[in-house]
Amino acid sequence: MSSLSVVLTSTLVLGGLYLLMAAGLTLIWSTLRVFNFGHGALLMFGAYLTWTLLTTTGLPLVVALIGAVVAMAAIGAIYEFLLVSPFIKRPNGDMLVMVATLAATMLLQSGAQLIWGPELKQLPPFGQGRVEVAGSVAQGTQLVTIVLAPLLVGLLALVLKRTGIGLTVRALEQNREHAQLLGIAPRRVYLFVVMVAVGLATVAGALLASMQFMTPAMGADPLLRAFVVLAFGGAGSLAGTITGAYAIGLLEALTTYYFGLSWSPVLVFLAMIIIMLVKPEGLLHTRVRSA
Amino acid sequence: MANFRTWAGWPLYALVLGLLPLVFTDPHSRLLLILITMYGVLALSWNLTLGFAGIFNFAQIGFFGIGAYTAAILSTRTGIDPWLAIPISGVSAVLASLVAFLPVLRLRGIYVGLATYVFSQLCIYLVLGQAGLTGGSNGIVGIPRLTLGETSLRADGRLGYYFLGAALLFAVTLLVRLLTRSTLGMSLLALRDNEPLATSRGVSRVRQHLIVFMIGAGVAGVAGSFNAFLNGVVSTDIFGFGYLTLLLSMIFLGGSGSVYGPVAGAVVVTIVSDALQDAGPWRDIVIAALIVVVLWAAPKGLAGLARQALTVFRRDRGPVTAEPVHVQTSKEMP
Amino acid sequence: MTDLLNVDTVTAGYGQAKVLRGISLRVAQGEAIGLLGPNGHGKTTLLRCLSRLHRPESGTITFAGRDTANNSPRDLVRRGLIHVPQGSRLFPQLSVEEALRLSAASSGHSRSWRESLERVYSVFPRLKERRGQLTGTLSGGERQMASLGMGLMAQPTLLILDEPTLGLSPKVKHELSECIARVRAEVSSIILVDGDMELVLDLTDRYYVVLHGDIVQSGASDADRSREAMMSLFLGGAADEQP
Repeated sequence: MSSLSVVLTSTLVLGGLYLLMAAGLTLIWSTLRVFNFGHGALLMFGAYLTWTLLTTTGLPLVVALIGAVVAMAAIGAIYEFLLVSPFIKRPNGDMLVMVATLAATMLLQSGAQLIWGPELKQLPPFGQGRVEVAGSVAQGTQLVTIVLAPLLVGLLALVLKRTGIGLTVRALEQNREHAQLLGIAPRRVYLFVVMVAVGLATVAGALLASMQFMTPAMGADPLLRAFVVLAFGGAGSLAGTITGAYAIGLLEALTTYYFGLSWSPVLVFLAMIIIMLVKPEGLLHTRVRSA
Repeated sequence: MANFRTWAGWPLYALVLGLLPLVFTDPHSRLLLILITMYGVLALSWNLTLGFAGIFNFAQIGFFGIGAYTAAILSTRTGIDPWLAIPISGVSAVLASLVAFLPVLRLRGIYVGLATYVFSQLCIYLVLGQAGLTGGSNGIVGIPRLTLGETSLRADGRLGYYFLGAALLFAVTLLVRLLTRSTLGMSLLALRDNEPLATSRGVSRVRQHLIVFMIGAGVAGVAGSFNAFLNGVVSTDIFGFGYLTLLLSMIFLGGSGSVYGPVAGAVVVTIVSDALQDAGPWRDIVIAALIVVVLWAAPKGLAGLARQALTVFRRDRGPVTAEPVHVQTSKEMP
Repeated sequence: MTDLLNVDTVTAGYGQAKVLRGISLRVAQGEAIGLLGPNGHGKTTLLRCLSRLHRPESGTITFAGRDTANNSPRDLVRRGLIHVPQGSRLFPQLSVEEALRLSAASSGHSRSWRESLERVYSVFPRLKERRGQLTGTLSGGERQMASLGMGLMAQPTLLILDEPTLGLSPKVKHELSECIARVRAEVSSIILVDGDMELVLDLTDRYYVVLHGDIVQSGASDADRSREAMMSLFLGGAADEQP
């Protein structure tokens, strides 16, 4: 395989994974105005839960994943109810939510250690397909990631654009106070948004766990990359997030190829810091004209 | 009179710190005491930015680790006197804080939290990437112990380390107290609570925040070198999640924004954490749950509860008035 | 008791600053009342207390016979108390029609939204022309119309309008006041707050004057004499008693 094709495949795979993570984070950020530092841990928990459903019930992998998504959405609802809502309206709520979600990360990681123990686990591949385009090869879970991630996020965009609940979410994003005066209950929308975001993270977790071993800390790296995506794309815009996810995927694929695995994250984070300095509102962000 | 009452606590504080190792003589309790002093120093330094200045600074663990690695590298690769390595560690952490401060220039609130959190994680990758210097994932072992003349600080159940830690804790507590009462401290509170007003009165946000950022980082760097010399080893764990949440729990349990709260938090959390040493993952679960419960039930932490209790106590003993005393009203106040 | 809304000695504020100091007023079924008084004296805070965006410190507010103390803004919207806020920038990325439909749906009237829409378009023909446009690109007057239209979509029994003509040119203001008159015919009860005293008095049955967080005067809107008395009072009061 040529160097170009290696970079292309990993761009699409990494970009897809980061997209699933960052889309949820963006959605949470734009409606709740908080960053969920526990998103990586939720990804990890979703991966382990998929593994448990797969091994205990013998269901097909896809069915196990769907089951895990549903279960994780319920966990996401509890998470929102216990760790986000109680603090969001308090003075200094940003910081309290950040601390609470960091605590949640610790809780979920230790919980996973307790439940699933230290043995290495991995999910089987999600498919046997193999596609070769212009010398670059994608197969199995890679291929599924490349296709599924943009598909799911596209579906999310469609739901936001076309459905009633989507309209409600967008209204709350754009003007929280007036939305309340229309009879929109913010907490119900928050709940919905967190459940969707956690569902997407679960899918990302299962895909990741099929490509590498699961560990309780497996969510930390995707979370950090998703933060970089948000800095790049401007938190709060789904279009920016999509572009940002693939741009960071490309940056990481390139730097890994040319500078090696240990330098790639450093360069990616440096890029993030520089972006934040030069254009704090996100590189791709354009201000909505408010006439 | 008021002045006497305010300052009488300090000799008492020194006395308690001095007498504690006489009460607790077994090696295990001594080690706990040493850890309490170290965590106390670190929590105090972090609370300067997080609590008083209201900066979402999550790079403090990075400064702590950078201090530890500086001390470890200097004392194992160069022949430098370990005692000299301690202040140098503080300086290197201050230099690192200049980098971590860059995002604070242009970002606000939670974005600063994001960037500084990433900074801490970046340290791990840098250490792993520079394996020749830092030992990579193996860490650095064989860091020489501190000695005073012929006596090792390890002697007599690490008594020397305890007194070093206690001296640091005393000095840093005093430093924080003086800082918060200084014009710098006042301007930080003004910036935190009403930035437009403060800046309109001529307070420079960037300057004041930079100063407190650097002071906090310097203290954390010194605490890091103390950690390196105490343990004799340093690894990337020092930048890890464990320290981060442990310290957050100390600050928030004790009461962010209070001078002495974090020290109280350090005492409680260190003891709880030690008691659960053999409980495996349960230890972290208990600490995480502790953080959440404190955030729910007592957002001002132990310091807030103490203040409340004191108010009630003073009221009960205060001059008798015709009206009945409503204890609850004081709780309702924001 | 025929009062639709009853406000009884309500106090409210922000932290240490007391804004409402024991204010009381009532709105009967089918009545339009106006609130007058200089800015910064508590009119908007009072309205925010009515819709529960703000929590009063003491006093009771009864709407349609029930205390609203435990209601959320959503509960009140569903019971027909609709608050059209002051100077809302609306929802910049939603189209006019999306915003109108949203208001019907979120107030529990999603079934009848098409009929309501026709009604709103007949009151505000301009909105029909702009139906596909994003609300963020509307002019100030059109934005006010959209805001009022969204209020109508929620099928209010009490419609609260906060400064609907704020910042509009005289010409647009005139157009809008005609719209408000048509809105008046569509809903049973209205509370109208506006800086344009004439407009308020023309469109309401009774008025209250709010000064320093309390009612200092009230009366029937059509009595010419009371107009003069009130005008001198609140102009005089506003001139030397700005907080």
